[in-house]
Amino acid sequence: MVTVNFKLSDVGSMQLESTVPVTFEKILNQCIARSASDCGAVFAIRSGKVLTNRDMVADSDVIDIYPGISGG
Amino acid sequence: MFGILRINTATGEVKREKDNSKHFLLGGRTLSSHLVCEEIPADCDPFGKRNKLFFCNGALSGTTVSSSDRVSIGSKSPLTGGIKESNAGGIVGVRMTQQGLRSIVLEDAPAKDNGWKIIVIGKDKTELLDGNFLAGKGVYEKSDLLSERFGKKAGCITIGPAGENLLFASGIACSDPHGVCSRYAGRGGLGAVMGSKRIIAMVILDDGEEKPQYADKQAFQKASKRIVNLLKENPVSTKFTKYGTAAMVDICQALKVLPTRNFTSGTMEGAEKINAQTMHDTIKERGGEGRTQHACMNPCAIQCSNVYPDQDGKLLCSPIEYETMALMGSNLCLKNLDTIARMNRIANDAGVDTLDCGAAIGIAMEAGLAEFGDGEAAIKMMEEILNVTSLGRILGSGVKIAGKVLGVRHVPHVLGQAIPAYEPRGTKGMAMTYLSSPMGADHTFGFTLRDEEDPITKKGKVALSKKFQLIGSRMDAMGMCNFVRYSVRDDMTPLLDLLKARYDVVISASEFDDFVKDTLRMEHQFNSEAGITALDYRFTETFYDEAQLDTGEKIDITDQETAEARMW
Repeated sequence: MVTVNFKLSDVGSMQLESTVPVTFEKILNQCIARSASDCGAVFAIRSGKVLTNRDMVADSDVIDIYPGISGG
Repeated sequence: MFGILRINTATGEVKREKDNSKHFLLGGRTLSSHLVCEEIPADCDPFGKRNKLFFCNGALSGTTVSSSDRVSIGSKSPLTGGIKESNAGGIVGVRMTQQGLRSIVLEDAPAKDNGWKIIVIGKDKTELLDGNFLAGKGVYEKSDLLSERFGKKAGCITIGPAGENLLFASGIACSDPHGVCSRYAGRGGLGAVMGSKRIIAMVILDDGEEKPQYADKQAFQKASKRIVNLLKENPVSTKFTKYGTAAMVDICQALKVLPTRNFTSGTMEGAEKINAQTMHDTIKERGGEGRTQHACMNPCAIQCSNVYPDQDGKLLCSPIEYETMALMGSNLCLKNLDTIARMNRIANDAGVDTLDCGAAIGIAMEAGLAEFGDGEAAIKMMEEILNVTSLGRILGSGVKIAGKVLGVRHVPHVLGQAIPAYEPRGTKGMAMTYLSSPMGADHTFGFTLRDEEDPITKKGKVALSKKFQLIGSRMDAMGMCNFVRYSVRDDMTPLLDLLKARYDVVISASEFDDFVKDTLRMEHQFNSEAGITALDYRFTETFYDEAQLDTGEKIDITDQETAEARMW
C-alpha cells in the first residue's frame, strides 16, 4: 500500500494498492483519477527527497505532495 | 502615443513628452530598464543629481485584464550599485493611465537641506507642494494624511523615515485599493533614491479622464475573459487564492531550504506554527478585518494577498508574504505569527524591505546582540530602524553592511541584496538564479525550485535558471503580476492577443522574448559599466566552505557557470 498525502489540499490522504514497483507518475495519475481533480504541477517528497515522475515507488512508501507554487 | 512626465526635483520644472516606441508600448520593466540604461550614467552616485527615478506602468494597465496593474520603478540602486527594477501592486498604475501617463521621471536633485516636496499630478496641472509636514512620520501616518488631503482614491507613493535618511534597505510604498500605502516596491533602496531628491510623496489624483482606447474592443474583451478563465482553471493559481504565498513555508521545510538561523539550516523545528494553515486558521478565527483571498489590485482573479488581524480582529499587517515569514521568522528562529506580523508592520511604517532587514537582524543575532528566537528583541531592533537610531541605521542599510559593521562572515547576500527565502545550498537552481540576476539575489526572477528534479545538484541548473529567468521576466516586461506566468508559461498567445486587440500591434512570441533578452543584456551591461565584476556575483565565502546543516551541501557553482547564466 502506498500512502499519498496531499498537503494544503482538500484531497487529503489516499492509500493506493498498486503493483509495485511502479513509477511515481503512475501513482500520481491514479490519485488524480480517484480525486477527479487536477493538481497541476506539484512538489513530491519522499523521506525528505524530491521525487520525479520517473522515480520508482515501493510498497509502504509515504509520499507528501505540495502544490507547485512559488513565494513572493 | 504614450505620455512621459518629467519632473526636475531641483528646479520644479515639469515637462510632458510623448513616445511611440515599443518600449513604451510594453511599459513595465522593459521601459524602466531601457530608460535607466539610456539616461543614467552607470558610474553616477545613486544619491546624486545624475541618477533618476522612473515609474512605469504596463501595457495593459487601466484595462479589465486581471492582475495587469503593476508599476515598475527603475533607477541605479544604492544597495547593489547596479541597475534596479522593483515593482508594486496597488492603484498607482491605473491612476497613471487615467492621467495619460506611461512613465513619470524624477530628475536632478536639490540641495540636501532643501525642504521636502510632495508632487501632485492632476489632469490640469502638476505641482510641487510643501511636504515638510510629513517629515519624520511613519508610512501609515503619512498615508492617512495624504488620503485626508487628496482623497482615498488618489494613487499615492511615499517613503518612510528610512528613505528620508537615505538608508539602503528603504523601499517605496504605493497605495492599495483601500487607499493605504501598503504595497511595496521594497528591494534595492529605491526609497533612499526618492529621499535623495527630497521628494517625500507623489500623488496621482483621481481626476484623470483618459480611458484606454482599443483597436478591437470585442476581441479585447474576449481575450480578457480568457485570461480570467486561465487563471481560475489553473490548479496552481487557485492554490494562491486560499493560502497565498504562505504555502511555501511547508514546502521549503520539506525541501530543507527554509532559511533558518541566519541561513545555516534549511529546516526549523516548529515551522508549523508559522505555516499557511496556521495563518489561514488564525485569520479566520480572529475575523474582524482579517482576510484571506485579498487582492492588491483590481481586477485580480488570483487574490493571493491577505490581511492579518490582531487578537481583537483589527488589521495588524497587510500583507504578510512567505519571504517575510521566513526572513523575519525562521531565519531568526521565531515561531510566532503575531511577532512576525508586528515586525512586518514596523518595517512597513519605517519604509524598509522586510527581506534585507530580516536578514540584517539575523546578522545581529549571529553577532550576539540578541538570542535567536527572542521575538521581543527582534521587534526592538525593528523599532531601532523605525526610529533611525545608530543601530537602526546599520540594520536599515541592509545585510551586507550589517555584516561588515557587526563582524559577521556568514552574510546571506549577492551584490549586497539579501538572499530571499530559499536557502541556496539546498537548491542549486535558485542559487544559480541568485548569482546571475542583474538585481542582486532575487527570487521572482528565475524561480527554478518547482522544476528541480534534484535540487542539490548543480547539473543542468544553468539552463534551468535561464529558462525561468525568461519566463519570470516576461511578466515584469509588461507590468503583469508575476503569478500570471503559471497560466501562460508555455504559450504567451493570450497576452499577445490582448496587445493586438488594444494597440493593433502584432508582437510574436519570439519577438516578445527578444525584448526580454535585450532588457537582460542591457541590465548586465549597465552593471558592468557601473563597475560590477564577475567577482561580485558570488555568495560570501562561507556558503562555499561550510555545509548547510540539513542537506550537507555547499555551494559548488563556479564563476564560469554563473557567467554563462548571465549571458543572453
